[in-house]
Amino acid sequence: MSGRGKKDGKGSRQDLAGPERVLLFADSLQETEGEGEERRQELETWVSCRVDRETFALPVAQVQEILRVTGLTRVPHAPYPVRGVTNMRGYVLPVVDLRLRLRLPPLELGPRHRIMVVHSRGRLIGLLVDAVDQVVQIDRLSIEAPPEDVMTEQSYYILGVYHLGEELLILLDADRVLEVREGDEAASG
Amino acid sequence: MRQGPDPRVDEQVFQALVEEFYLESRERLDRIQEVLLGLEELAPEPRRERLVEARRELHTLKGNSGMMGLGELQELAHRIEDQVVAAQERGEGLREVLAGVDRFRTLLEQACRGAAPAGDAAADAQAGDEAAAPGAVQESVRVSFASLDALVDLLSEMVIFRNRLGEFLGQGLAGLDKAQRQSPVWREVESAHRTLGRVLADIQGGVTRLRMVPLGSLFAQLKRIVYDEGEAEGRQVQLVTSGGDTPLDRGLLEVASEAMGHLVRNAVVHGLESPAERRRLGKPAAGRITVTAAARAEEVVIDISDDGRGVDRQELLAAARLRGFELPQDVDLQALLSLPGVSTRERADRSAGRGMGMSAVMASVRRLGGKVEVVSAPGRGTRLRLRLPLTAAIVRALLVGVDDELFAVPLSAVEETIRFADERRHSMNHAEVFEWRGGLVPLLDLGMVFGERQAPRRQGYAVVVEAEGKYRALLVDEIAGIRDVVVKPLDEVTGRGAGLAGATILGDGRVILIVDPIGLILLSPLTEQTV
Repeated sequence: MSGRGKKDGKGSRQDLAGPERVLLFADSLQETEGEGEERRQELETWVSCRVDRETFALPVAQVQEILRVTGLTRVPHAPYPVRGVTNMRGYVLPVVDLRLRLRLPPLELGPRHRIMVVHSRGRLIGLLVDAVDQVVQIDRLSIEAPPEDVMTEQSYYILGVYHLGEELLILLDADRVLEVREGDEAASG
Repeated sequence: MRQGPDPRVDEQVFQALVEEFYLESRERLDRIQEVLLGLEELAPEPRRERLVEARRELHTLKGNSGMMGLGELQELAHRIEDQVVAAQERGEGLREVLAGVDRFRTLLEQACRGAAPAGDAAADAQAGDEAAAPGAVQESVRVSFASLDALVDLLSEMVIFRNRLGEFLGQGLAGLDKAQRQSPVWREVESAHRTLGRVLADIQGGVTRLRMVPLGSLFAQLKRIVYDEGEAEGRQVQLVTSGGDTPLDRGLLEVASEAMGHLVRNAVVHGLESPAERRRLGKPAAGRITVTAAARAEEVVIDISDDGRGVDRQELLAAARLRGFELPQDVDLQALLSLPGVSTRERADRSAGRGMGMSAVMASVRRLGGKVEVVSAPGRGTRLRLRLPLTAAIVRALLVGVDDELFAVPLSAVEETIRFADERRHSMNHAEVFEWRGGLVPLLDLGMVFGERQAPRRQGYAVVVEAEGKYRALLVDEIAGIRDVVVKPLDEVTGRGAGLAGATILGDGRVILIVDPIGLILLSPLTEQTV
């Protein structure tokens, strides 16, 4: 977009694009609150969910709501991670199965299954998970790189891991999980 | 749940400004074009007034562009202004001005693209067109197409709940004896349920009307096409339009605009003779192209007629055969025109690719459930009739059951539904065909196309569909009824499923998929042993 910066000539922090400004804002919080404290923290809210005995998490800012599964319609020739479409108050919501995305065998739908409705690249996409767990606060600065034994196929979707007490959270890159890439060829049928 | 102020707020304000600028500029550009076209016919005084108006609009455009920090647009507006002044003095140079306006439009699109609010950029660009409707500037509110769609979604959800309520009410009443059923409470409930239905229907009608824009908003563009093509082809053209107030569903506007533009261009280029030839034939030197629009009960009809040479069926047939199409001698004009790549113009001139364009126009109109019809009298002219459904959002569809799944087939493509009889099935060159109306139609089992089924079913129904002049007999288990369904697009993450036109939500809340007959036929390029 041309001519953007000229909107206000104050040359202040408002000239920065979104992500930088968030960081700057987070910094300013630290400056006022973190006086005297050695270890800095940058808290973020994530929501965790379970798939195949592992705990994954997505940033709350990207999750609009969580739905019970009331019926999924299969879409013929859809790329393999797509489980189908569902009715979200009159809107036809595409649903990606996190299990399929991680190359795990799909499960029959049960009462604990949930669809996390995620904002991704300007639109809404559902992410089917085995169960939704809880809303958690995590410290950005304590996010670790994914362990090396993670399959390369999976690591593409993972931002990092986080130790929450005893539990290991796998932090997902929602946009990557929900995009369809080359090689996501149609499932048979 | 977010912490601190939302960093997106400033961004949103800025985007809203950009959007406002974009929409307003488009309105101004349309106005400038409208004012400039048809200048030649005017007396000097009204002519001067029009030029002054154009300059005023350009001046505002210049100022606004500067305010938005779009220097390039600002300069361009300034240059066009100068050109208008020159045109005013010399009485010529209109072409340069129009070219400048086009250039401005392109730059504007580039500068503001991506500035549309998150959600649906395409829908928002369409909202721009809507705002350009003449006479809709004041006493109105701009609503993006996307937010209207969201309302429609909520509304259809409400209708679904009302139906569910009705169902349970029926079940509840069935369990009561007559005296209980007649009790005032139950009668109140029933009456309230009925009223709710009526009100919902009214709201639905209202929202549907909100999606309507007057077709006349497309006429300005036609004037421009006639002007450009007439100049290029050396034709004199008089364009007459009527029925501009005919309402058209927003969702159809884009295709209607494309189709009308193409058909009018076609009429100028292929239909009309040169002024000299017309004089020789005893016709007025200026050809006449008439565009009339009218709303009927179930459709909008747009006629585009010219008084030119008419379409030469023989010539077209010869061209089609040259292209390798095997056609009977009595094939009709419509079918000929819908063949890809067939044109009577062999010369690859400025208007090259027109032949392909015609079949593409027909295809896109059909996809929306409309039709293009042709009537032509050699030597006297051609009439192309564009028939569009009243709304793109709602399509009449046949519900078919296929291996425990339901699909909707647009009724506009369905020729006939026949209970399946095995003796009408034959095998030819490894392809299964079906005997129908004295010919053979390739069989397509929907369970094999869309599901896991390995061999065609032996019983059920054959739904004969037609698209692009080709036929297929779709094999299904059962016909579950005819329904008006609200068409909802599929997200690209679902692969825009080949052979699928979208999805819809049934009364019980279930999502079912809508079959795209054209896509299906492309999906199954069987050897053409069609009728």
